[in-house]
Amino acid sequence: MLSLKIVIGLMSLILIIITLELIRREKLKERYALLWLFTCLTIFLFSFTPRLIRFVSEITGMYYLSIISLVAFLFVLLILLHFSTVISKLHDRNKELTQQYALLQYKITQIETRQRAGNTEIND
Amino acid sequence: MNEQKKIIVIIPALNEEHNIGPIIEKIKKVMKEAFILVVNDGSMDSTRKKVLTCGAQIVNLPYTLGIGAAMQTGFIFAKENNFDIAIQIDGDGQHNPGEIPQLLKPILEGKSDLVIGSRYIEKKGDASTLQRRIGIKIFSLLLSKILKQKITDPTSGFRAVNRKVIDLFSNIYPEDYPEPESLVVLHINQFSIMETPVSMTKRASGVSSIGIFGSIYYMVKVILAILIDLCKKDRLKTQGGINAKS
Repeated sequence: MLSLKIVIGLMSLILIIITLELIRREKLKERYALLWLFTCLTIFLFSFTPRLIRFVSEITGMYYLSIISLVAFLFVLLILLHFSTVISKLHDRNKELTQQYALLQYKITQIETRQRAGNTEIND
Repeated sequence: MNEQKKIIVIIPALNEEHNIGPIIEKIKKVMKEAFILVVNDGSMDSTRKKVLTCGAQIVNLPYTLGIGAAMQTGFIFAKENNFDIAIQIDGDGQHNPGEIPQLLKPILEGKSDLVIGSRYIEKKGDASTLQRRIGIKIFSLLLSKILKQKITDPTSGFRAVNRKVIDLFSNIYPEDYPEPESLVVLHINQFSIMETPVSMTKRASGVSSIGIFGSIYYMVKVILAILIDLCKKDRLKTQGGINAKS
């Protein structure tokens, strides 16, 4: 039992460290990292508070590992859902930018063509 | 005497190097004064070159966004350049440019905000597979119920729209299933819709090969999308985003 606590505690700690390192390297934005840190912290606390575990165990009839797994799973689901909403917004913005970019390209081509025509007139 | 209306023909095209030339030529013959704009949806073939040689205008999307976003790009262009009427026509040669005047008539007469070129009014035929015809019949029943008017060809992309619709579509245009969904958007914004008979030809190249389960899955998705659009009533009236700025 004790070894299980240590293993899970260690895993959540490693995940916290990885998350912090990703933030430091600018690979993960703080606003998304927050959820991950919160999740890992929760699992970490969960793994080391016997009273909480006993409480949930009595209500649900589940054992220690199952409870931890369930908590982790639910949190991960929430994080994924949140990411899907973020992706949706990015999709929309990306579409709009792409459209505006293509239209700008068109306008630039028009201007360049007109300029070239203007230059040849001057040179005649 | 009617004042001359500024008309644009929007042709979304993805890898249509063989079809796009003939279409542009036909349109030029029928609509001498119209502005032809091809929206190149990230084609990897020589579509772009072909369009320039034919003397039509082209906007090139850097990568493929899909027919919905490509068509919308055309509407944004139409709005920014103050066109009064926009014609939507497919780049694959299925639609007959010769029938554009029929689509235009109700718009010019002010009888409707959008006109759909329907394959199924006079049963002129479209050489489509039974699978597709059943699917279209189902969509037709659904949309007729929702719009409270008879719609025989909700999936037809051969359409004409007036200025009000150009403004709306440049701001809000569905990406997933643009043809039927756009009708729902129009309905929510209380615009009028009309149909007029046209004939369409089967795709010259390319085969639809999704099978019976694929078809059912597709139908379910479209119906779901339409029903969800109805639930979004308020959000489909005005929307933010950079395209909304005039």
